[in-house]
Amino acid sequence: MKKSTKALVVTAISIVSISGLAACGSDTESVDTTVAADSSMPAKPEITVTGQWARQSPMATDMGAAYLTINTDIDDELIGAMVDTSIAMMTQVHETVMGEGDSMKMQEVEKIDIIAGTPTELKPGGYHVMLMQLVKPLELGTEISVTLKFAKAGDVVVTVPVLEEAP
Amino acid sequence: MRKIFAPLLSLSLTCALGMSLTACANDSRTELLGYVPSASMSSAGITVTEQPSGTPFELKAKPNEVLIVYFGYTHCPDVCPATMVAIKNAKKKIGALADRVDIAMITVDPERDTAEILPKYISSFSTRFHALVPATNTELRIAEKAFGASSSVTKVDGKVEVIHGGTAYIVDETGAVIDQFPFGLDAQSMANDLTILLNERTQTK
Repeated sequence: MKKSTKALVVTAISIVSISGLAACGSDTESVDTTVAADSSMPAKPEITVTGQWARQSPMATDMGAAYLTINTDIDDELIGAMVDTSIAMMTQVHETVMGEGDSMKMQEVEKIDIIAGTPTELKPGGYHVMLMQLVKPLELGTEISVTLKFAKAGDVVVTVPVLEEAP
Repeated sequence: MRKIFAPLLSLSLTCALGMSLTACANDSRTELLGYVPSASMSSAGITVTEQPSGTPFELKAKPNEVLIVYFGYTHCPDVCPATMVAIKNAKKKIGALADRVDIAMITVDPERDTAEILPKYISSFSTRFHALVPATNTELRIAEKAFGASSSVTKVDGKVEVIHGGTAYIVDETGAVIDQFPFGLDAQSMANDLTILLNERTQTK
């Protein structure tokens, strides 16, 4: 679909418990980020991203993953994700799929349908933003900027804290 | 999701899988929340090459301890670190008992997970570990067979695709598999099981 709406310039506001961060992320309060459109857009946000986090990357690996929940007022499609090449050389949306028994594999997904009013979760063991060829490790207490690409809403930039586990 | 619901969810998952009906019928605080193999499983006498020493490591716990065996690979950004972090946090929850929990990660992708890479990777999660890099495909397959596990590494259009199991196996000092942590089992549930299993071993000594 041809992009009919302009790319959203968004502001991500992270509310992170300071005490939670001091505890290495194990007991952080939930992280909420509201993505609002710029002044030319209606006040009501079309897309809200909550609970976003990227996993602290273990030593000796150049792969990372980011997770989040997407809420929309209108049906849309997540068609890709991007981070700056100062963070990772390649970014894709992947899904871990369960096979026979307890077997599982990851595969790239072309798009994820986002249904209005139904939260779409990217979470461990399911969909995730996969950061490949990390330029440097994702370190606890830092943040990265992830651009989510939607078919209708365009680009949505989210500030994502690096945590050890889900907030 | 608040953590308080996690053990309940895990329990529900276990119940849904029908693998530990006894655990579902009883008080979750005193029963195992992982699942106990329905048939006996043992890795006694089976060895995998440990790195960086290059020596064979037998897949069994030291006396009075438990060994967690996990098949994974370092290019796995999703399920492997999720499980390793859960194990790390489970150990944090059980205090001094954690000294009696050992971890062995067997890479299913030995071509990329070399003797230099795998030990570094696991050291991100535990100070005590065994980085096992199968020296041959046969070595890997024999180890997997002991646990009923399987994996494959294939190259598709230049990309490496890895299929592997998500279960962590708890092994005792005889090499018997005494509990299994399915993917997604939370740290609290793992801590519950490790506490029960380690206390049983203390009492029987």
